[in-house]
Amino acid sequence: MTAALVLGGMGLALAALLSLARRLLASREADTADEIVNAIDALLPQSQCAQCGYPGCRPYAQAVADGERLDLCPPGGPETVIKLKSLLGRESETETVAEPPGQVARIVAKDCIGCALCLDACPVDAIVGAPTYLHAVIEEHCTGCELCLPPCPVDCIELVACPTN
Amino acid sequence: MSDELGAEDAEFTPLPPEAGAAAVIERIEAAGIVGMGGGAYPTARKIREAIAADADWVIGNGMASEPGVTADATLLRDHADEVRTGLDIVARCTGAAHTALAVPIDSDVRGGTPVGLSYPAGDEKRLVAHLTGREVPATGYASDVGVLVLNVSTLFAIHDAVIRGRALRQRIVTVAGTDRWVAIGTPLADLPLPGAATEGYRVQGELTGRDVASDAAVAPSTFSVEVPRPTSWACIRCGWCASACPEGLAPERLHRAFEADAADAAVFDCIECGACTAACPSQLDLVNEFRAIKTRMRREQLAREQAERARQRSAARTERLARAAHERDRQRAERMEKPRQW
Repeated sequence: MTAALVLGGMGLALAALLSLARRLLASREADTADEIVNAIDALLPQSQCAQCGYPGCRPYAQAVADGERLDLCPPGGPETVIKLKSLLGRESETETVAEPPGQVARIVAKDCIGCALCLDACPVDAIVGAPTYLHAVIEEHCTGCELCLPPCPVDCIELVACPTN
Repeated sequence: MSDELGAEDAEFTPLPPEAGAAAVIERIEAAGIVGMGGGAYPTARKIREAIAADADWVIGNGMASEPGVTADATLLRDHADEVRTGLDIVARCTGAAHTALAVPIDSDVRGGTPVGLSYPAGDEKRLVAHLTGREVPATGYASDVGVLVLNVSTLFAIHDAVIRGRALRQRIVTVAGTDRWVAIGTPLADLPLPGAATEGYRVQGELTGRDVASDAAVAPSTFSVEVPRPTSWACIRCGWCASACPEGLAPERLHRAFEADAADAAVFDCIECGACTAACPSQLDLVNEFRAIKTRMRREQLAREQAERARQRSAARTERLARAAHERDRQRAERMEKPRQW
């Protein structure tokens, strides 16, 4: 009889402790999820190129945290895949990515008609210009994402190898 | 050892002793003089920076850059007077109150200051601390504490340019253990080296130097040329490198970081003296491994900074677009509420 009471009491006390702990730690869980996304985001090249199918690096980081494949980032290359694998403990996955090209966009001045369409396409505001004025790419800020190529009506944007890093 | 080449030719008229600092520095620049202790930093610029920093010390560095490289010792033996004149010229230019010609402790060069430091005594930071008592910051230069350090070959070239009106066209090079006057620009393949090195040469010393292609030539900063080191074997973890390291590093751990393509911040404390290379029984080219780690870590740091800039710019753009869209919606809602005024 005493034994049943003691054990039952202990069970109740521990259950109360557990439910309390769960309530206290629930808010932390959301923080941790955010931290994981941040950690993934920090490993991505931040070219914002959307080649992964997501509208930027952070959305892809969110998707990776939710279980998306790790090999969708061409600018990151194999190095990023290796780092993501070790961060997430998903070493067993066998994915291959080609080496990133390391490029920046350059506007061919004699062909540019100043249409300003590429300005809106650049995810990092690396193109300066205004309608009817010549545009130029700020190489320092260009991530080589190629998003400015499709909107250009005269195909005056070329990709050149990255100047010495 | 052959003597100087073409001693009678002169490109410039010799400067008179009363020539001002500006004229002397201009001459040093015109003569094409750069740091001949390996740095290849333009000497005229270095002197101008020292003047701007109010340097009060000028040190001639005659300490051997590494054991086995005797070019500086030979120059001091044969041309100590010219080197000292070069030092005086620089001291007059900068207005420095103190000068010293640092020579090894066993050297009997007249006017030299024997320095009783063990290898790597030619290390600028050690030399400055020993002679002036000033500590050069870990990431800084001697000029940060008001000291101008010039290699003795550079001082000799300054003497030649100012007193004899000669441009920098030759220097003493330790060619496989023998010191020779060599014209700058000489293909390494034309130097009298034992055996033909088809895979390239080792310049700047066996321990701290680097391998260059077989079509390389003698540069103003080339003080040593030899045939490359023999092949190396795997690390046996004997730990001799750690005992040899003057900076108290564990080169063996850095070697493993190199093999694993890993980063190790300790590598930036390496002064590249090559003491570990000398100690290594497996003959590993440790210094060049550590240089490779430094280069890779700096490149990765740049990539991280670039990524962070791109992330911030992208975030700023997203926010700007959202603000613009919000403003558009607000104006539309305002228009809808107000009846039209005809």
